[in-house]
Amino acid sequence: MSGMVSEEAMVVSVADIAEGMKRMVLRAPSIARSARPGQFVMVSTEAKDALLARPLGVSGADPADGSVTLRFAVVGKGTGWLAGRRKGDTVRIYGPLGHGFTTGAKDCILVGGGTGLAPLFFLKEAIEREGGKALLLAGAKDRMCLMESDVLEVGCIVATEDGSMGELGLVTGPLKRLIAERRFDMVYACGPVPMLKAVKQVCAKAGLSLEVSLETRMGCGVGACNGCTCDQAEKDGAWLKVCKDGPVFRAEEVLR
Amino acid sequence: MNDALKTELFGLEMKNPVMSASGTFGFADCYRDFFDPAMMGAIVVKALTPLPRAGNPPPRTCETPSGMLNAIGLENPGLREYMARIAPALKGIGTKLIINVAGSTIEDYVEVAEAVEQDGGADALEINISCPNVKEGGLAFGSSAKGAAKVTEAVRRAVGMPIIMKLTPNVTDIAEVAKACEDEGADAISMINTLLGMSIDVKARKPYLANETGGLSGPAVRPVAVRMVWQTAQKVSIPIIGMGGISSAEDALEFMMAGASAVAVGTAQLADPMAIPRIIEGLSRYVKDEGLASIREIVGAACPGRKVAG
Ligand SMILES: Cc1cc2nc3c(=O)[nH]c(=O)nc-3n(C[C@H](O)[C@H](O)[C@H](O)COP(=O)(O)OP(=O)(O)OC[C@H]3O[C@@H](n4cnc5c(N)ncnc54)[C@H](O)[C@@H]3O)c2cc1C
Ligand SMILES: Cc1cc2nc3c(=O)[nH]c(=O)nc-3n(C[C@H](O)[C@H](O)[C@H](O)COP(=O)(O)O)c2cc1C
Ligand code: FES
Repeated sequence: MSGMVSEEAMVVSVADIAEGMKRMVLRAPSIARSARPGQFVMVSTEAKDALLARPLGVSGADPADGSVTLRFAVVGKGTGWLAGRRKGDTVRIYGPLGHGFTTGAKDCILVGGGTGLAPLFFLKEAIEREGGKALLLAGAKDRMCLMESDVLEVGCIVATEDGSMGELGLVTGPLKRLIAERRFDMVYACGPVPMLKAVKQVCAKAGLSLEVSLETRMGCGVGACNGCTCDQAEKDGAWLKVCKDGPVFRAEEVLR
Repeated sequence: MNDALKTELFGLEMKNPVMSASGTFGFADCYRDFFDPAMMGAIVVKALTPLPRAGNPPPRTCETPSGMLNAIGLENPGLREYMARIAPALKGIGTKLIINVAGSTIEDYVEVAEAVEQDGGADALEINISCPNVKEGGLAFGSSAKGAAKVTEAVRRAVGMPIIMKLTPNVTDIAEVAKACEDEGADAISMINTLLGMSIDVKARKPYLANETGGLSGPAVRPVAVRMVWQTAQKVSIPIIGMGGISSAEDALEFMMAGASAVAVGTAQLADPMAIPRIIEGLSRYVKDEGLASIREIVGAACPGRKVAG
């Protein structure tokens, strides 16, 4: 991990992409230049009592115009404060942090659950730019938890647990079907752990390699506090740090 | 660099009085992209124990009003790995290096202290008798003057290098514990470690932290820490390194005016990777604006009964 910087980022635009879900574009040229899909930034907020910065996945980055896109659910103090920023306001962010996805796949599936979709937009772009094919699968409890407008725009297969959008059921339904249809070279997933575990099972059966992105509560985001341990896996005798060793891991490393 | 910020602690010459707090700066490897650690007065690294420790299960941290609880549990790679991999990387870091030592027995402290002295790469030891997050985290020693004296005495006998005793605020009279350390030959006191606390997840009806209790740090503890430094400065004549919620140059000045010769920054650095350089810069501006020849002029300014000279 190198090339991390702290930047005073200017808000370029904020948009609603579903109820309680925002897409925010920031001008943060240094981060935009080096961010890779799967990496994240820490956002410093001025929300009352919120001391620590909040981790958000990089959902898009364009070195040409210096923009960084975030897609996030408004769930509490920090994200509430961020959602209240307007065009022209500044927000202090630092990054890009962590290890991202291994790109280079030729024909792959991206599985996103809820806010786990955020980094996958960026990954899809990168894989397609490198000439690969990337199919996006979006799963959520209901349509409220999807990044609806953006999901529809990039085109993807949707499954909701209540059937309010797309297929009824879990994302593993369409995933199994796709895998049975043709040979893919890679699967990437980001979302809640039960979803990741289910995806892992499907991929293991089909002999497909899988990379997953994990979420934990974070203190610093850079490996300084040992607060973000993943107690599922060890490296050199120590538990893995999600912020530095991850957040992207090979599935067999972190999911049991 | 500003000469007015030069600080001397027990013969250790530092560029400025600002250090990292143990456990919030890794082994000085995490913030290099943001600034060169050589700009700090000293680097204090994560606690080191004789054997590797995995630490406590997650969740390990929890944000609280103007602060945070942590229950990391002294996760560290252990002495052997430290000597093989980390100590060499810290050589030539460009500033003073202080190793935080933890243990569950007196022998543990002595073992790590001796190994660090032999290695020769560090400038001082910070003896952590104050970790609230593991049953044998030294708190058993740190919570009484007698226990603190025992550890100080044993480490003093074992090594010649400077030793700083790091004290817990979870005691009735911290100044008395500090005095006991001074009497046994400690070179300095650092204070405070975290305040024992708890936060409950009302939805889940159980504590947020897997360890249940954790140590409170950050701005929330600052007034408690300043008061303790002020009381201790009137009781001991060895220098005090003050910490607890320092997030700005003004906060650092509070501690120094209360009697601390130097300060450490922990939680604020976790929250903002530029916190330490910002604080050093702020102190630099302060001495200029106030026309001070040395920052030392304000040490103890609000503590007329301060015993340590200079
Ligand atoms: C590497 C990483 C990348 C992330 N990327 C995204 C993203 O792209 N889009 C997005 O919407 N979210 C993302 N998240 C989650 C996001 O960080 C949290 O939702 C956010 O920190 C909540 O902050 P808050 O101040 O609004 O909530 P708070 O007021 O702090 O908390 C509100 C509620 O959320 C819970 N909570 C807070 N943080 C977490 C967490 N990390 N995991 C589970 N529960 C939590 C709290 O316990 C509380 O119940 C990511 C997290 C990580 C670790
Ligand atoms: C995540 C975290 C880990 C810590 N680990 C250690 C440690 O290993 N050894 C130690 O002596 N103190 C440790 N501390 C305590 C700090 O060094 C410091 O004494 C305390 O946090 C108060 O300062 P602050 O408010 O600036 O953080 C830790 C604190 C935090 C927040
Ligand atoms: S969040 Fe601090 S070490 Fe990972």
